[in-house]
Amino acid sequence: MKHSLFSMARNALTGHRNWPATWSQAELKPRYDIVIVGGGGHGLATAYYLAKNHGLKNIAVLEKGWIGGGNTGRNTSIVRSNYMFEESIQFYDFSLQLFQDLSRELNYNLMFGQNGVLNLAYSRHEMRVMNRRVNALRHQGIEAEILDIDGVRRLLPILNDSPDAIRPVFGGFLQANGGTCRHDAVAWGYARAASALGVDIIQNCTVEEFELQQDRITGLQTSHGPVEAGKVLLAVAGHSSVLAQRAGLQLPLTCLGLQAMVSEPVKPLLNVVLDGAAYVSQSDRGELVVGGGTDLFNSYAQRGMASTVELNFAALIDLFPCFSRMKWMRQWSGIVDYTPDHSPLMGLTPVAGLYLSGGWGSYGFKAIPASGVTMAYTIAHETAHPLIEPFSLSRFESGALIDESASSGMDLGQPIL
Amino acid sequence: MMQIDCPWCGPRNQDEFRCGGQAHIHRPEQPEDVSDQAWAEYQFSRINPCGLHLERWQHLFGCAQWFHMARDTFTHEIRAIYQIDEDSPGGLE
Amino acid sequence: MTQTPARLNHGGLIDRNKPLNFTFNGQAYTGFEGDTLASALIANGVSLTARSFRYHRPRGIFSAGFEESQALVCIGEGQHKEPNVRATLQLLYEGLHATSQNTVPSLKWDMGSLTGWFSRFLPVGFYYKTFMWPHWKWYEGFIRRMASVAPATSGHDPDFYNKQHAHCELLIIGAGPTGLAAALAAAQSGLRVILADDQPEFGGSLLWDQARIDEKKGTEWVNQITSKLAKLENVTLLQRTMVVAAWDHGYFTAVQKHRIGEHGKISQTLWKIRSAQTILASGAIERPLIFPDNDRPGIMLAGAVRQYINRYAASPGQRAVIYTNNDSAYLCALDLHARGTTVAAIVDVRQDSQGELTRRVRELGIIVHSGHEITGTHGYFRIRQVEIRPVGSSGNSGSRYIRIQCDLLCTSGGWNPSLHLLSQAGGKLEYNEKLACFVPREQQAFLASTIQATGSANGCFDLNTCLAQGHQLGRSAVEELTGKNVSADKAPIAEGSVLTRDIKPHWQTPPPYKGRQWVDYLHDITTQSIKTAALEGFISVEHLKRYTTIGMAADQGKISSVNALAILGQSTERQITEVGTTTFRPPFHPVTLGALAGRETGSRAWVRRFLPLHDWHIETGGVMEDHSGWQRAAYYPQDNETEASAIRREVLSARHGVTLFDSSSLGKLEVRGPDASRFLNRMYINNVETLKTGRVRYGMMLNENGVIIDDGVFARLEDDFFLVSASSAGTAEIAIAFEEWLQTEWPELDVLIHNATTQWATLTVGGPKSRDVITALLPDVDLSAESFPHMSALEGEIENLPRNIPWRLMRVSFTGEVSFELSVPANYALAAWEQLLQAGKPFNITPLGMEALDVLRTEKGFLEVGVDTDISTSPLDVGWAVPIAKKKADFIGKRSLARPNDKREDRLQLVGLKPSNMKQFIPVGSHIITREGLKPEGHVTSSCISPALGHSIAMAMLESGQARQGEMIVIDVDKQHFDAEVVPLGFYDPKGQRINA
Repeated sequence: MKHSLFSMARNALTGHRNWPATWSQAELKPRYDIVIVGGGGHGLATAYYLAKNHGLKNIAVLEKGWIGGGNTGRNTSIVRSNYMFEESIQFYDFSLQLFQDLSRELNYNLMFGQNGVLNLAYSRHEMRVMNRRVNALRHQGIEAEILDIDGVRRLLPILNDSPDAIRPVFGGFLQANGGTCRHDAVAWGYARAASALGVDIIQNCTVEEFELQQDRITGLQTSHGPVEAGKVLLAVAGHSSVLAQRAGLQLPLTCLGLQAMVSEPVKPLLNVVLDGAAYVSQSDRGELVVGGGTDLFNSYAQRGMASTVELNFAALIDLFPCFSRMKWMRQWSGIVDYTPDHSPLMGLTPVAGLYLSGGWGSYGFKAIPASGVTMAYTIAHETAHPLIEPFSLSRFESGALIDESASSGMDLGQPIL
Repeated sequence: MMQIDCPWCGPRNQDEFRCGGQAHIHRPEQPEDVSDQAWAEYQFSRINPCGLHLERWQHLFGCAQWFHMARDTFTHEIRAIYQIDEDSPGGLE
Repeated sequence: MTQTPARLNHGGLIDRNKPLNFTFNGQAYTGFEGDTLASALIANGVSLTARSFRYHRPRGIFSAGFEESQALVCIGEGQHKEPNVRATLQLLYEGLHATSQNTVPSLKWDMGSLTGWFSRFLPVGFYYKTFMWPHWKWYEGFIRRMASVAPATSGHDPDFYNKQHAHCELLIIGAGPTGLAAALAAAQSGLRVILADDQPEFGGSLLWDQARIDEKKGTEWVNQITSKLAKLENVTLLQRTMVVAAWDHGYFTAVQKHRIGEHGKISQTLWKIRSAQTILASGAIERPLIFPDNDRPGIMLAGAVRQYINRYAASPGQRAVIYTNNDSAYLCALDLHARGTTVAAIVDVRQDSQGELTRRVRELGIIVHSGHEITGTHGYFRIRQVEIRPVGSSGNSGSRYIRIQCDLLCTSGGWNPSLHLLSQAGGKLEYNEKLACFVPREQQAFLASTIQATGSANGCFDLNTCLAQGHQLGRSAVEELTGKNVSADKAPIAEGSVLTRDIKPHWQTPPPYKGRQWVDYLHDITTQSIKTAALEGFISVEHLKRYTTIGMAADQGKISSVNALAILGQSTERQITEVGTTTFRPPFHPVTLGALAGRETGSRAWVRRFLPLHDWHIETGGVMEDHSGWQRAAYYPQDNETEASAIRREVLSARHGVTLFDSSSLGKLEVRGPDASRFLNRMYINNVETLKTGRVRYGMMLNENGVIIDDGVFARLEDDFFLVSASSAGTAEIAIAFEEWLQTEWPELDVLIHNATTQWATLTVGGPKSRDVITALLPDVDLSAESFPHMSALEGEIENLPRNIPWRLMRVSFTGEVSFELSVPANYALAAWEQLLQAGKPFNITPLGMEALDVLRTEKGFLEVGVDTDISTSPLDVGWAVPIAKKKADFIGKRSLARPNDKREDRLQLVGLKPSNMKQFIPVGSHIITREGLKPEGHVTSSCISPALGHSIAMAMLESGQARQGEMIVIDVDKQHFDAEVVPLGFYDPKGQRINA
């Protein structure tokens, strides 16, 4: 059913009893041309574009839990493309452009608010680095501008900018068309659209083993039974290593815990996404959403640490002292698979027919549409889409790392000795 | 916030320590003889398991000594702590 | 004594000798010490307190505790304003001002309620299905302004917050009867016990339950036990302390509240508790029955009503109806009756009307409608009537509907053990059919194995059994911790319970009915929303939550969650056990952000590092700025000069006179031992072993990926003693790296590392006249160019400063002029500095700031790691290919430099630039672009208008830069294009004659 005011009115008058399922609950078939392991944003988007852009049928998305229940439902929902290196900028901006029309394309409101992403600079040096970043972005056609302290104040009137602030803000830079989006809606929207194009979405289906014959993948053993597959995509984020290992692969990944926290809802105070001492935005419900730094030890626990919560809110209050009497309402944690250079792992693997979209660390949400389009292309053509060639597994061998640690929002700060 | 039993200082809060990742990875004796692929594997390839993990830790804000830990990455149960120059104790599974 | 309309004459735990004045929405009221804001409002006959989040429906007071999901108000004004306060938790104090939230213009006449009228057109998830055309941004602003219940605050927080660590063998969460019994049994053991309860006094349900224990009043028993425990050294009693989060290994976060109503003092303490064993005696939270129009003010939880009557002596109504599916609500009827409220009827969904309880209530003349359910209620600002019919009669014509007048409806749908903390720690719950609630699973995995739930938190609702359980658990915890048997007194005994009949789940009223059945009061979610969500495929609890937002409001679903998942089960024809439950996330109850920051605010929010001469820099007018965590002077303006002017003056002094620069933050890593040289040879890309004693060399260190991580000089002071001068920014990383390699990879090397950075102050005297100045301080040392050439090092002692102190001297230069770095112990910094100033007076010695230093080193083309290099720059990119090729031995990162990508010739390489327009300053970060196609091919990393040369110069990273010497390139500055020539680095004195003088 196409969503519109008319369909809403019609349903209202019939007591909202006739809304159809958002996606069809499918039964696992014995064979698919393409099996996508992982029903998060990346997996569902890829399924959608395989069907839509490449006219492929006979595709299944297998999700061990509920779709969007992994990192897609746990991130801080930020969409931006203000990265350092050309390869990253091009890829993430392609994604941002796709986000702009995505609600209409999927006929599902993703609530993509483009109110800007602001980074703050705390020293002359940081201002100079920002100038480089802004120029790099502009040369890729992205709207970015440097702001002095007055410019920052105009965007953030409640910022603590007193002269004796301990960390005075020198200025910042703004990506005006960055913003936030409703993360669950991205998973549900892609699921709905993919399902409408005939993709089977199967929840509560765990992949237990892969069937391999002479370095080629031929099928999978799942909790719903065996499946033959022509091609398989791993889009399982924090479980990339676990699953890759079942196909005999060891990846350059480490899984860390990444937390986020929200405050109780308050009236609008913050329109931009702020990437400064704290990484914070305000949701449409009014909650302040704060991204925590990664917990620097291997973890699949999805629990988090007390100290991270304390540190992040202390940083937030330093920026905005007026928040001190508000309350922390909820915290959650996800498993982020991070690569040594904080850039993703995409494309082919040494196992024929097995494709990978992983290593998304803390920067995967914004990449969902671009990842979907490029991985669909890659799977359909059996060769990497040009935009993702730089992110192949082989870059670690050749040394062509793309180190985006400064821009990826994973603060691996140095201790002081 | 785990509690870690530093072999020298006793049980301390996790935030005094630094995790050094997977243990028992040794630098090739003659790096110049190693292929690009093997060099990449040494630098970057990791088991990254969900479950028992042998890892290195340092009591950074304490005695600054390194030691080994066998820990479950899912439950965070610490199964063993052993010296930096020891191999993993058997029978942990 | 001020009597308010609904205050009972006697009884309760309030202090009638201490009246308190407060206001609510501008209206003045009185209450007593011991009241909460909620109980005081009830005593004043106030029933309307708030409007719901989404549809602005009138809301009252629903509960008596932290589970409150209706009466959320704002306390205070201005800086003291605190939004989203539960009136049920706010202790009353003199002068308290409370206001409703998100109501325009007022609570009673709120315009937002208009959305309620439209809500049938707004199904669950409506915003996903619309607001797309023409674009979301048209609607977004409006939605954002609508969406919240609390006004934001402004200004600074006047209160302070402390943090406190505590360790114990046994933590007992909850000091109700069960927790107290456990504490009593365990405390005599001498083990450290912490007993925490969120209420101002211990006792839990005993504060209102009218039970008798060991033949005394419950409250008397509590006082006795508490006094006993208070006398024990090993026991810590924490009142007003809510344990909000369970983490790893028995680590808990708890929040203790202190003063109420006084500002500018410590208002909360964040406790960080580590316990070996934990007893969760956190009780159970009552859930309501769900029925049509169940959200009117005057509809309350039955247990809460008992609290108001018995604990607060406040009567919530004059004519009550009880609606229940279990025995506990009958006690509410009895209490109400005893205190003068008419109980018009008990409506019990269960057919079974046997038993002691029914007999007792009937004896009092209370009508019991067994086997009936509520089909509707009336009353907009307060309930005035309910309508009931027999269960199972739905749709039959001729079913008898009964209408009952009332102004209070007390509902109980059962009790949910409060197991959030267990769940946070990874504990698993399972649904118990008989009790109709979730209880802990028998076997718990590692994390939760040190947490044991007991009492009603474990699904036990009989007081006597709870006491026995608590007692037993206290004993067994001690036995487990000490390995010894414990002989303790007998368990406390309560009078027998009259609650004998089983609960009968009745999750909602089946059709036909009019009106809506509300499940989440804050977000206004109805049973219909759940059904629609299920129809749309959101059948997992997680999906339900996210799609409907049920349980995501400020109460985090404490009251609604079990009802919601039961209804989800009914909507999808699944048992509750099949539906499952969500994971509980911290915190159990919202925590003030200020309490999480504690004292790490203001000047303690960030670590700043100060040089030993910090005060002198400030007094001399140095403009202090952050440089990698250190406070350093950017420049020292004199006589109102501009920044540019000051920098220029300092630069010229450095070139022609003499300057004094505080280099104290430079790293001083002492590397000693027989293998010191061998070790450093593996860390540096340079040859270390060939360095002679008394000589200094400039070197670079890489990470294993071949990326430059630090540069700086290293000196050989003795054969087996090196001094590594890591950069100010990189010292910590290098020190850590050294230790890591030595301890984990090369334990066979005999090397000791000592980070002496903060032990020594380093004072740099530089410029053509510098030798004259330094000689004045060290008259007996031969510092001539022949004896002490550039890149030399010496140690010695200064006399009489006032005592003999050691010094180290190195001839190194970042400016290109003759330069002496003198290091003395940090606490002699000022003495040495002042002597140098004195000696330098005849030469007009000038303090040098960071900005001037940057100009000077740019003129020399000296790179700065992290400025001219970034996280992908290799030494090959900055011209070190030849020295690297000469070093045969391996070093960290060397192998990576042999990879295909590292050997490419089109990499970004460091070059000098000479803009054609001599006066054009090129900002750092500007990009170099190709002439055709205007594609970026590099960027400017350092830049200045050189005072020494009189024209603009820059350093840049340029693709294939090393092969493009002499080429004219184009720089883009804000869309203007400037030509520049690619020139060798080292614009000023390229042969180094001045530096070697």
